[in-house]
Amino acid sequence: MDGLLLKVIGLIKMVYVINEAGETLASITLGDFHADDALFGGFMSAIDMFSQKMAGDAIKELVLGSDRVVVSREGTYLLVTIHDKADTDSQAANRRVCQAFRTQFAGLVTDETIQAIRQAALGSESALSKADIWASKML
Amino acid sequence: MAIHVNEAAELLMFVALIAASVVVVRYTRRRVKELPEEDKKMGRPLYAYAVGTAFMGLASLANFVAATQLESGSLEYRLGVVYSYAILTLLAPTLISMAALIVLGRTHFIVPVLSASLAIGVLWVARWLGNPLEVRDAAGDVSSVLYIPAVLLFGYILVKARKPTSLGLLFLVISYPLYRLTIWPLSLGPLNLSITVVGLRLLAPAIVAVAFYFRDIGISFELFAYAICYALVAVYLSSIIATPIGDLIQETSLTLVVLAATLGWSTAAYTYGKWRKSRSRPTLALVLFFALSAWSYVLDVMWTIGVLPDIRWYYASVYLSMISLMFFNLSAFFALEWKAPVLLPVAVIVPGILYMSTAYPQDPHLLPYFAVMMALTGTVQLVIPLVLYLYLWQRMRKALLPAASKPLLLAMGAVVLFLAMMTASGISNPIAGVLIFAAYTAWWLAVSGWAEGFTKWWYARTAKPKAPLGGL
Repeated sequence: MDGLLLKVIGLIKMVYVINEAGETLASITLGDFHADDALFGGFMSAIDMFSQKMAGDAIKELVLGSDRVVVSREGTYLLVTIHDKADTDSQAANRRVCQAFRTQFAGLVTDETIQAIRQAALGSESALSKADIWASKML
Repeated sequence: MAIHVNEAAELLMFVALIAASVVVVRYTRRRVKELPEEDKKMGRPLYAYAVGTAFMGLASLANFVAATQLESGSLEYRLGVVYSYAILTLLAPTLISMAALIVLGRTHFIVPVLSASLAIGVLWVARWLGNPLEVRDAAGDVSSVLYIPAVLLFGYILVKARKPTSLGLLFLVISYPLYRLTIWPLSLGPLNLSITVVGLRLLAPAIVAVAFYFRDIGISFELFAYAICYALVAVYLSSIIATPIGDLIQETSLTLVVLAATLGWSTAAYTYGKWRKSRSRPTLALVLFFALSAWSYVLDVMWTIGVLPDIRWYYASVYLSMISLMFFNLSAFFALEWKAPVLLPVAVIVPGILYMSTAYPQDPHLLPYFAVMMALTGTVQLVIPLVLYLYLWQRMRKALLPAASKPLLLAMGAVVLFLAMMTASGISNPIAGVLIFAAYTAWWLAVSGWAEGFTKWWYARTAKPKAPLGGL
């Protein structure tokens, strides 16, 4: 059971970068997740717009079957990460990807941007770096 | 029945640990409010730590009750108390380890690791069921081992963060294993140093409380000095609980002297904070005076009640007293900016120290004219700053400076301490106790600026306008 959880926590299956028109600018496959990029981009963009109109707030997270979809906004772009439903660290993993995107994105999605996102998505934080972050925020 | 000082200290540990736990919870609540929504869960480890600290406190209380009941009361009652202690003392490191696992993001390890820890603890203690003494010791041994993972994590955090709060978290978790490891070896040495281990253990919750209460204090002399204030009183009260003096008047007097020493330490801490900003020499001299004189009185009290029975502690107390008063003299010279005679306070103490040292390791009171020598040295050491501070007060008063109350109160403290020195039986005399406490109160009022604030308020209240109102 613990072994299973270890595999799941902090693991990103897929990353999407979607613009405000609902076009998928980049899709980075890291695990077992299959969807049509163009359809998924339009779907997420539509849900985001719908959420803003109906609830007055952007969508942050939704569960699709056995997957957890975490959405965050960087300027006019949507950054969507796909995780296992049981992943309790999905928000932190999404923030990591956003951080990488922010530092490597200058108007165009380049190979460097995709490389940075891939590295951030794969490299889950070590226990000691989590302790560093905790100490800097709490002490 | 008689108990050891370290067992009596458990009662004071209970008070301090509960207080530290409350302070950590208050700090965490405030800190979490400042964090964005997604980071609010970062408060959980500190809450777990605070609950663990509270369990440590309850374990200390149970241990104190167990110590007082080990040879009296029914076996069922004694066993009940000891089993409560065993459970609480195992739960405390378990909860603190839980805090460490949350910090490391390994929450999925919590259930297996903590179940294993508790199972090992219970199995180890179970071997001694039915024997209160053995159960108590076995639970203490397992508990100190269970703190090791938390010691490693909070040690790492201290190295990385270098904050007083991280120091407090580490100090508290390391103090118990260190205490268990050193208390007996140190009590068997040529000098019984077990009291210092008890003092260090009592310091730990006080450091947590101070570090989490004063957010800008830093890892500094102030942090330790404020924490020592509690540890001093706690060590003294533990000694009195363990070995009551029996004479209420003497106990009252000694308690007043310990409170004066505590006031001296807190004044030293406050003055040090002032010195860090001003870097002025008179302020530094006062810091050293307050700190050393407080230690001198503490050693004197501990020697008087027999907690530190070796004659070396008495020598240390007298030397510290003379050296501290030397700094009091120097502060007066520095305040007046008189540089030429600064060697005078040093010269005053040399004959007394040399004469006393000739008697070592015998009781110096056996020396001829020892009392006269000490009285003369003490008189000179108090009269010089008294005259100098009164002179400074006159100069400042003429200049209508509100800070004039500072030298006046410093001089008044010197007068009161001089009167205390003149009383018979030293610090065991209640009149001396009251006077020493009064002297340190006067000095605290002088240094803390409270008297200055009062003087400003008084001037504002009593000063008459030079022109009639509406005279324009």
